[in-house]
Amino acid sequence: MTYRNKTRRSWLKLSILIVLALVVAACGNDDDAPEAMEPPATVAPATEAPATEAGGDEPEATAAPVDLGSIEVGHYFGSDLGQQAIIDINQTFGMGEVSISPIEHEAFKDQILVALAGGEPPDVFSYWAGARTASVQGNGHLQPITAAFDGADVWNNFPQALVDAGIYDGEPYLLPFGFHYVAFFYNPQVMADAGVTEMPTTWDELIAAADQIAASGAKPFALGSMNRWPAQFWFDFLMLRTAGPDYRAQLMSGEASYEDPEVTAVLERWKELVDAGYFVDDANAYTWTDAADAVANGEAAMTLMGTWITGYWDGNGLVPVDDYDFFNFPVIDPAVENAALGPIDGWVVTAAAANPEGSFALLEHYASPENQLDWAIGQGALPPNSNADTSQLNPVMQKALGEVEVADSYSFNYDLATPPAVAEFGLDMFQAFMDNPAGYADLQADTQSAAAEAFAG
Amino acid sequence: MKPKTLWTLLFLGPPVALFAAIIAVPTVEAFRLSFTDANILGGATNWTGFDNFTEAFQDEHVRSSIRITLLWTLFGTVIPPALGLGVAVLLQNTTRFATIMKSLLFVPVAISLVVVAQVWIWIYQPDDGLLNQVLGLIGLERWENAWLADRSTALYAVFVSWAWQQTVLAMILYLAGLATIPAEYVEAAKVDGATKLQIYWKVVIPVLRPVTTVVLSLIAINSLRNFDLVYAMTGGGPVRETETMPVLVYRTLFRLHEQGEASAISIILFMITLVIVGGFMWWGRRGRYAD
Repeated sequence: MTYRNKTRRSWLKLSILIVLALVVAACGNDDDAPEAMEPPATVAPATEAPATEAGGDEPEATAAPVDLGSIEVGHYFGSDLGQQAIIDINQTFGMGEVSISPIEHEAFKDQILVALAGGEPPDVFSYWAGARTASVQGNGHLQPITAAFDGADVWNNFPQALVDAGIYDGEPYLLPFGFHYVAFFYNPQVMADAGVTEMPTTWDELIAAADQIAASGAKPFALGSMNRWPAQFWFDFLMLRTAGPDYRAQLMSGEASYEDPEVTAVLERWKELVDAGYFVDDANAYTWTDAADAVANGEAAMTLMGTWITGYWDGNGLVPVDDYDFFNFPVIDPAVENAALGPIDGWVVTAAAANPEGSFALLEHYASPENQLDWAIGQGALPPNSNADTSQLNPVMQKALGEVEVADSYSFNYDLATPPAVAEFGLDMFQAFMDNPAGYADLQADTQSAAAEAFAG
Repeated sequence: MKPKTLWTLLFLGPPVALFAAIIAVPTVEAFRLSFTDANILGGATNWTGFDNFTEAFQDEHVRSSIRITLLWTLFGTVIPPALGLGVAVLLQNTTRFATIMKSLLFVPVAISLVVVAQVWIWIYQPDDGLLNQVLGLIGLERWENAWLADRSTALYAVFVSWAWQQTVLAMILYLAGLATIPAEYVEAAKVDGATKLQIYWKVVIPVLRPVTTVVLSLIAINSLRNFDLVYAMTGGGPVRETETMPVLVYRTLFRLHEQGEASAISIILFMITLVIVGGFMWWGRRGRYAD
């Protein structure tokens, strides 16, 4: 054996040792990584722990804390206050470690699908009730959360409409965590300057108010449809107030056609508003926050948006009632019921959850009136739990809650009411409509063609 | 096993394994999925033969995205390389001004495309955007426009912001290429009485042919795979007017959940890329200066 070969072998051994050392080190780091990146919530005293077994006269405080292990949670709640509320709520969960991964709202829509397809989703994630939840549930990615519903008695503590929003194929899959209400949010000063002292309750009054506002130099309606979805609320409400929720449900499920006279009537009525110059120019150039800013700074009087706009305005220092308020979408046909509209945010447990027991316990924790209220205040949402102390909500949100309570029904907005593959084309239609309302007949035909194909599978 | 073979395996193994894991396997998988009705949400997957491809070519939105992508590539392989060469020629000397300009012009390629998008969104804003303000200042108010919301201008508006960055990429490569041209070539041409224009046209540009091949290939690839800037600026809108093929693939996969169809469109894009970039490589080899 030559010296050179010996040296080579020595180097080879050394290299292998280094590689092995690196592998071992990497494995060790892997285990430590989650702790290093996401400090687990501290295990609080067992205030939420179930009572000890029967027969014990011992006070509950002496019961040993229950540790159900770690639970991974993913969510899309973007508001700073909402995110902080989630952290605070998790810290009071005394039955395990909760590690959370907040993801930006739009990115979440894609990333959760990748995680589900890859078989490595978090145990629990936030999701939108309606067609989106139905699509992942229908493909076997979720598991029923009956234990959480029973544990928190969601059946009796939540309004029936919200309980129903969590039921898919006859079983509970989604725990409602917060819901929203879509209405005309307006700038009181602009309304006052235009001489609009009473908020419109009928279509004619709305048109009269729009004329007054336009005459005062402001735009009646702000809309930022660059990302398409903000325009859907116009289609939704014009449909709900004319054809009614039952027809709309048929359209959303593919039983009715986008070329029906009911849809034509909606688009023609919407076109009249655009043609009258009531909307801001170039709506497709702006986002919903641009529209909110236009109302806040007085360029426009109102915008048709959900209650999350209050979170945005509060963050910008606006004062409820003084700087912003809302009114319900006016009645168009008195014979049609008064439907409320909005999305519901909730929590689901994945079928692949590593810790289902802990996940159900966490959802039970999320269902408590105190936690729902804390998050609702932070996020600018309404708490689904009927026992939440809603007197702590700001006056505008309390009013919104009142409107939902007196509504005849509650509907999901368009992109949560119809399957995602159909909603894509409907949202295209709304943006194209704002670009060229005169072409609505072609848009109806195109959308119907795409919807029929999507419903046919 | 010979020590040399062992060393070869040791050093070549990891990169080959890495290539297989992140390039080869996903590509083969994309080919496989393109012949199925796979859905990203799961469920049964069936073999559908060439259905996804025939449906893609029959779909007006796929055809439109192919048109947009090819138009983008055509403009992309003409305008940024030409501007990049022009700027490189202007800045090839070593004056203090040229040095400062070179440093400043490098900035765009160092910026993330998402940041570039935000800057240009502001420039194109209808109300207080820079472009409309400048037009207003010089008395061209009637040209003011909602550049990204107007269906007739959105594609070109996004293209300009992309070309701004790609021009700098071309300029950097051409500056490197110009520095390698032997001074004797230019001197000889001068002695032969060639004008400045003739020197560039008959000497400099032919000698730069290998660099041009690299520039055209890189920019063609960047054109064809363009996603982030378009997505950040318009999301493919308004009304799908800026929907390039990568944006369509994204929409088909993540919004419509059609993994098989999205894979088929990806394969079509892959083939188009092979043809265009292969064409540039062939052109570059065919006319090599050394030949």
